[in-house]
Amino acid sequence: MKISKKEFENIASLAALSFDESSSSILKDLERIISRFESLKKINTDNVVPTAHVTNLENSLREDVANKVLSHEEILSNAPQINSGQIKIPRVFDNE
Amino acid sequence: MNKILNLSTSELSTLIKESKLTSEELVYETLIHIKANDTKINSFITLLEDSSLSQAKEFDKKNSDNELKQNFLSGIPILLKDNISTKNIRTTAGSKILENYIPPYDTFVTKKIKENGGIIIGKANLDEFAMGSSNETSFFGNVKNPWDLTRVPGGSSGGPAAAVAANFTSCSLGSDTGGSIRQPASLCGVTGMKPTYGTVSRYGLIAFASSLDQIGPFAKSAKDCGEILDIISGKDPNDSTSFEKKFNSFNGLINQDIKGKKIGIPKEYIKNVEPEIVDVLMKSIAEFENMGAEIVDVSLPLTEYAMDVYYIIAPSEASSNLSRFDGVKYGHRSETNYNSKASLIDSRSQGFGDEVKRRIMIGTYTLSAGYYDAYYKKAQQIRTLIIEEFRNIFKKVDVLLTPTSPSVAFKINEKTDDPIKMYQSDLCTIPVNIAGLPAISFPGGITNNMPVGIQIIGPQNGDQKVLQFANKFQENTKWHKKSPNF
Repeated sequence: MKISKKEFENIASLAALSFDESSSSILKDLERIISRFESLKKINTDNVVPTAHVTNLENSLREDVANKVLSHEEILSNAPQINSGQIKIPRVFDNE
Repeated sequence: MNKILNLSTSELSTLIKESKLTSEELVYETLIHIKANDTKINSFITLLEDSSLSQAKEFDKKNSDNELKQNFLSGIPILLKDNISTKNIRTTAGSKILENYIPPYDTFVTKKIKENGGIIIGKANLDEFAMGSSNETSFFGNVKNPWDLTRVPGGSSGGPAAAVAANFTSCSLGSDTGGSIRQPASLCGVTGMKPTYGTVSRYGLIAFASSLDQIGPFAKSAKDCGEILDIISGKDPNDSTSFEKKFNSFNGLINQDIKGKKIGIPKEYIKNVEPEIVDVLMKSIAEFENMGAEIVDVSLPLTEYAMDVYYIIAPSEASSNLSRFDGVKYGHRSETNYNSKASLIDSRSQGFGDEVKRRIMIGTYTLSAGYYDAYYKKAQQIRTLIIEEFRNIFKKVDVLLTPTSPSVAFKINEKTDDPIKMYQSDLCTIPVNIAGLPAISFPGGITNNMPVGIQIIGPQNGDQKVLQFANKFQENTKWHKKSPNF
């Protein structure tokens, strides 16, 4: 099966990834791998409930009590840039 | 190399309890061996030299003052795969994007190990984000197989497996999503177990595929794997997929005979496997027959679809889990600063390696509008059928016996050009994760000087049975005692 360049770019945009010269080989890899999945159509899955998870647990809940887990400093300890106790990031709006 | 480094965790634990060995001596010799020889193997990303030596000295002091309760891991070094978060100790997931990330919290399992008195000797190399079968995708370089330095150790837990094989540590923790503990255990000639999904908390494990990931032990024997599982398992309020311990001891059945027990050999697991591997399997079947087990030929027809089901589900879940790496709160942030979106795209594109990007792209495609039903939903439906197929088989047999890997350790770069060829290294291990079952790989033989692992698969929560069969094999054979010279 084929994936068009436009479709590839759409997927890359959703995944927030950019590819340059490597894009044609990744595209080919994707086509080869996804082509394999066609064989799954052979299996009849009418009325089969998709697996949500493989334990038999249900409603694994805890009491609604607020816990202090990490301090402000600990949470910010890996931030690339900090300003006044907040994480600094580039501007959100397009630079036009 | 000091001979104590050949010993298993149980043997070391006994020596320490009997005061025949101090923790300081053990850690000291361990560090000498690692520093002299890990340049050949590259199994460590971070070596915790100072902290482990000072912990060892502290343990010995408290021990001699009789202030301590002695546990299985007390005073003993253990290595953790570098996707297991360790508080204040760099944790990289083998990736540039987390090259300098220092977790502000511990994994559930890390806490349990510390409570038990274990000493974390370092963080082990792995395929980036646990995606790989050869430890060739790490940002920190390849890991080499101690049995043959031109060959891969397997993956993604190549570092933890190789380190035990090389006697850098008697035990380690890895993670297994499609075979990432069992396959490297096989290729490195050590024992490695993935418990039933939900046995060990994933809190603090850097997520790859949340419905498949499980942390598990590597050690020199099945018995030691059982002891470590006793320590690290149990319900964790921070992981709602974890459950209360099902048994007092994972090794609860190891003294019970397997006479009359039924071992199923699924024919589909022998189809695409090298002849020398089948040969080792046949010899191990004979061993089990000598022990009185009954061998039953069985069939699991859905096995041939398991790999494709996995390569839809795992990348889908990974594409979601890895969306958190955006250069904002932690991890690599690119220099691009004209707007946030560009920074996001560049941070990710620079920070992730090719295999990770490939899998994110597959997962994004299969989850995208118009494709979700055809791929992800279909795969999860077939998954239900695979689970049912296993459940039915375990009504007829106690456990299944299969090869772990279709071949011995392959040469470095042999499969890196062809992702599909690489994915097929996990043919025998993947179905287990799809069904959330327990399985162990342990040495079954040696062919052309390379180790060959065999795999026992049990029913859900049949972890004790799995360990019982593996332990019986190890009581009657010596393959797990073999070590490489490198």
